[in-house]
Amino acid sequence: MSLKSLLPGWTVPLVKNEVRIRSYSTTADVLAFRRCRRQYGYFGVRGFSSATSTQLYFGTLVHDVLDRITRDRRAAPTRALPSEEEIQQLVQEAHDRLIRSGVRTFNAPLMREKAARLIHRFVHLVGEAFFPHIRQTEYRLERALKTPQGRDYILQGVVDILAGAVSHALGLNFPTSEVDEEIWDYKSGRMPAKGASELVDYEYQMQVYAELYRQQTGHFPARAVLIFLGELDDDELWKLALKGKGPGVFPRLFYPLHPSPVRVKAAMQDFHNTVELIEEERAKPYEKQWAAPSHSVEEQTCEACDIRFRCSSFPQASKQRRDAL
Amino acid sequence: MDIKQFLNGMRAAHGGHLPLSSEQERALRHDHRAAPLWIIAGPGTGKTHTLVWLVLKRLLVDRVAPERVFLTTFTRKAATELESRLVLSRQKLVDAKVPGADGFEVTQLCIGTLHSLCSRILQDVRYPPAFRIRVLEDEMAQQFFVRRSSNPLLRCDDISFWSRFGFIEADARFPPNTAARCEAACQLFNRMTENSVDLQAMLDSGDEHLQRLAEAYKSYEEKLTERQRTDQAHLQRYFLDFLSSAEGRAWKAEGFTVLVDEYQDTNPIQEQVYFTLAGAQGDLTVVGDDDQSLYRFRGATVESLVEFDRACQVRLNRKPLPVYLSENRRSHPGIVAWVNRFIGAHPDMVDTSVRVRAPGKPALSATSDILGAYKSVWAIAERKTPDAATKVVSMIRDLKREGLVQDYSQIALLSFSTRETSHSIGTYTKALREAKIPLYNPRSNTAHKDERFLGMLGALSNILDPDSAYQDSAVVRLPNGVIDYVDRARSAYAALAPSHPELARYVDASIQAVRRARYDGSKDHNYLTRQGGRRVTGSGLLYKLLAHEPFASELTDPEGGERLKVLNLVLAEYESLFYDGELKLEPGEEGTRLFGRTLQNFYGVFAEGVHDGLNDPEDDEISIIPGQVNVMTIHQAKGLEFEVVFVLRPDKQPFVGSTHILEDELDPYVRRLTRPPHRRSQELRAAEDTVRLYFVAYSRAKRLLVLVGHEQGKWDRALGRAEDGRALTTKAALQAQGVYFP
Repeated sequence: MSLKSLLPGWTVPLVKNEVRIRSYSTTADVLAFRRCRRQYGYFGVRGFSSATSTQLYFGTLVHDVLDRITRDRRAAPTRALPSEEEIQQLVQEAHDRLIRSGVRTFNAPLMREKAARLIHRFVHLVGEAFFPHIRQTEYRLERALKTPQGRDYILQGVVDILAGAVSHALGLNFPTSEVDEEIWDYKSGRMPAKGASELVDYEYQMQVYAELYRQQTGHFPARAVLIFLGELDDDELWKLALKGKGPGVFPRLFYPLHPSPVRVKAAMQDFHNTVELIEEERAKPYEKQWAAPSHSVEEQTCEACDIRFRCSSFPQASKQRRDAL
Repeated sequence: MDIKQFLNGMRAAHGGHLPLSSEQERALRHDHRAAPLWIIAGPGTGKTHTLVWLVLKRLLVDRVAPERVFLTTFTRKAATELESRLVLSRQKLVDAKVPGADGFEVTQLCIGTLHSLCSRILQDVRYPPAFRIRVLEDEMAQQFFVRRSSNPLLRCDDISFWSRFGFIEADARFPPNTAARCEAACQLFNRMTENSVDLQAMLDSGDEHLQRLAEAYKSYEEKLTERQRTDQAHLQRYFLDFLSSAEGRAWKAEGFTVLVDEYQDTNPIQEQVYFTLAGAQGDLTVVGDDDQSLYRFRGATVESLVEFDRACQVRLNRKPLPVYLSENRRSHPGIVAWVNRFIGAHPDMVDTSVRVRAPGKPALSATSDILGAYKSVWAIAERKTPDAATKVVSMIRDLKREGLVQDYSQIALLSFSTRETSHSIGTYTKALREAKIPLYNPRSNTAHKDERFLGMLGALSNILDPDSAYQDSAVVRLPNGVIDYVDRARSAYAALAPSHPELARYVDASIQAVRRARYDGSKDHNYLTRQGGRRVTGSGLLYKLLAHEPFASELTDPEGGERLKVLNLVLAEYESLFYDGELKLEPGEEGTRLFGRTLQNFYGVFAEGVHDGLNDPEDDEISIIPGQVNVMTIHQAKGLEFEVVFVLRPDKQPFVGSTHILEDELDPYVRRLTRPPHRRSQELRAAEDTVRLYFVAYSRAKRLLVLVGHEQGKWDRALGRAEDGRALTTKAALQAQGVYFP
């Protein structure tokens, strides 16, 4: 007797898909995927735990200390800017928190020293004009979006600083006004060369932030400004700056981006495409997912990657794999 | 916009039809200024649907600011689903041109699990005690921490202490081993935090056991603070402390619009968080089903839901409006009748002195469009388990072959435990595998026995300990079980090495590199380093090993890859507590070797934790894998539904455990404004828990429910009673209830 005959009136059920709209972070997902599909897949999607997070460590350390200085300053606007020793202390405290929060590092003392140096230089170069204009730190942007292919997703981003007319107060070398509203983002490294993929990604990121900001507030910010703190690591220029020449001696310290509908549209399109590519990758069979990218990957990205020892994008993979330990 | 316009908008968004039952509409029409809302929603009655439209109504009709909405649910998966459905439903209103629907974004709401929201908010406000704090995410991480911090309970050899709290039998001859003590300590500490126990009262009690416990808890808390760690329960404590601070009061302002899903699984500290967040205005909506409360073992108190009216009276001086959702749109009428009878007539669920179930709760009514004229509850009762398993396999094969289901994933095998042993459900999974029916059983607790997993552990052990110090109690003291486990791991590696020469060469070269490592006696500590001075960690070695065959290929296999990931994650958790995994050295007879204490930790903490059993990782987003029969614990199946459900082993009996004992032992010291007038006995509470589990299992089935097992004489509790109170233990009695025996 067939099973069917025991189940009169049985209707064949359709397979239902679970309702799920994924959230994507601009940096931890979209930009990470563009940097290296394989690294993103293993650590960002599958959830492997990295043995080292050197890049994350340095960037977060710098962010945390600047955030703390900003908050202290907002709580007590008349308080003096922190001294070099105080900044070193703040760096040490931030380091302790990071290590305990599970971030791993290599050469931490050197990196702490460098972080303290860059932060001290930044604070003393621009602090008096910079901090009073800050309205909010870690400003969260989050919108539900749809790709041109009709896929819903949620895009998230966190802007380091939402500020008033900082550029105007600093007298930066482009047209500004005292009623400007700006978004600022710290980058802990040096400014990449014009046209470098890393810089292109940053540009896209800021255009997208500007658009999310517009959707959230109804208007674009006057500009988005990237601060490349690594530029301050030039001792010769710093000596000049100390002679009263101001932030202008570091021509690549600030990188302003002016949101325009055309650029924003291109950036949003690019982000939509990346989300579609990620979804495409997720839908592949497990063994075919997250292959090494066909485009070249920055050496620094590979060197910090735990799965580089068998990766076609990393030329030294085979040799390093065979090396002891 | 008023409610009438909103409902018209909903109609317009659904092609002129209002997708609400009268009960759901009543919930939406409720005036939240008048009273909190108490939604008791049976299985399949559209709880999430109601919650979604209720939130949208609150935003559009009540003009609640979106950033003042605090919406929580029990799991990350459920939170994602809730947010997704809100996004899509709002879009429907926008498309239907409902005024105001485009004036807010779902992303402005606080949606998530309570843990995730506490964590996010505390980070956002930089609450000093919790800023960048590391959360011990799971039980193993917490147990590693208890070991790392040398909690005094680990040294407690007092048998009477452990037996009092239910961790060993009263007549046990030995105290629990270290692993069991760690597990017990975590359970004790979590319950104490969740219940906000009065520590001083425990210390002053004059009761030696309670004093010992309170001291150990204090030590645990001190170490958490010292090492900037927190556990899940303390994270909520921090949040509550924040809400009570001046900054928190300013942040909370007049209070939030709070909506809580799965309220039956709330613990006392969470209850306190919700009432505090809602503030004096008491804008609180709770949704849940007491009959589906499954998490007592994690500190949940079903009383939160069952006694919600009394809690509101005490805290807010007003009564909530109860709304019962009882239209079941999920299941065949025969299944609905089965679950109604089961829970309604079950002797374990009836008590005149205590509210075991929510008051006034109606039976479910069947409103699904699944209406076939067939018997939808079946029983496979065999004398021997292999015979039952053969019938199950045959039925599953026929369901697919005859096109009654389209995909194996529409079928689920549910049980209390999905361990694949002969005592549990191993006979069934073995039969399915032999019949080549694919199955998905991530909680089989067998990841640690996988040959590749063992091979990887064995390779690591070889590099770190080429002299097999794990067998030498003068260097490393380990329980025999761990020594055997490491032996197995090394044998697994030894079996791999000959056919994978590159791997063997790498391991041998690394062993030599350890032996040749420079040891400088003038330094306090010497660490194993790579060329260039970078310190080597266990995790770093694991990644190098993963680059070698056969592990590299295994990484691309869905099962193998995920299992190796488990090893990576557990090792990372261990290393975060033990020197970041850096490996200290000491001089040995044949050159440099790993420091004895480092090896002791590696084996005695990490390997011992692993050898106890590991589940496969589960996807945070996906519950069901296409093409595979779901083998799940009943807990795992909560919130899900399947076309065909097999409930395995209905002979399962309740037992009183530490969960029930702790409830009573800690009760005098619990600080909670609303407490049940009195508790049922431990035995009855254990029985309630078992009945609720069966209720959840049965109510997952849409088209067909099959009870499967042996020893039908022991199925009494799983079957309940007939409406007239008669037992159902005979085949004839079950047939009289409409049950079909294939």
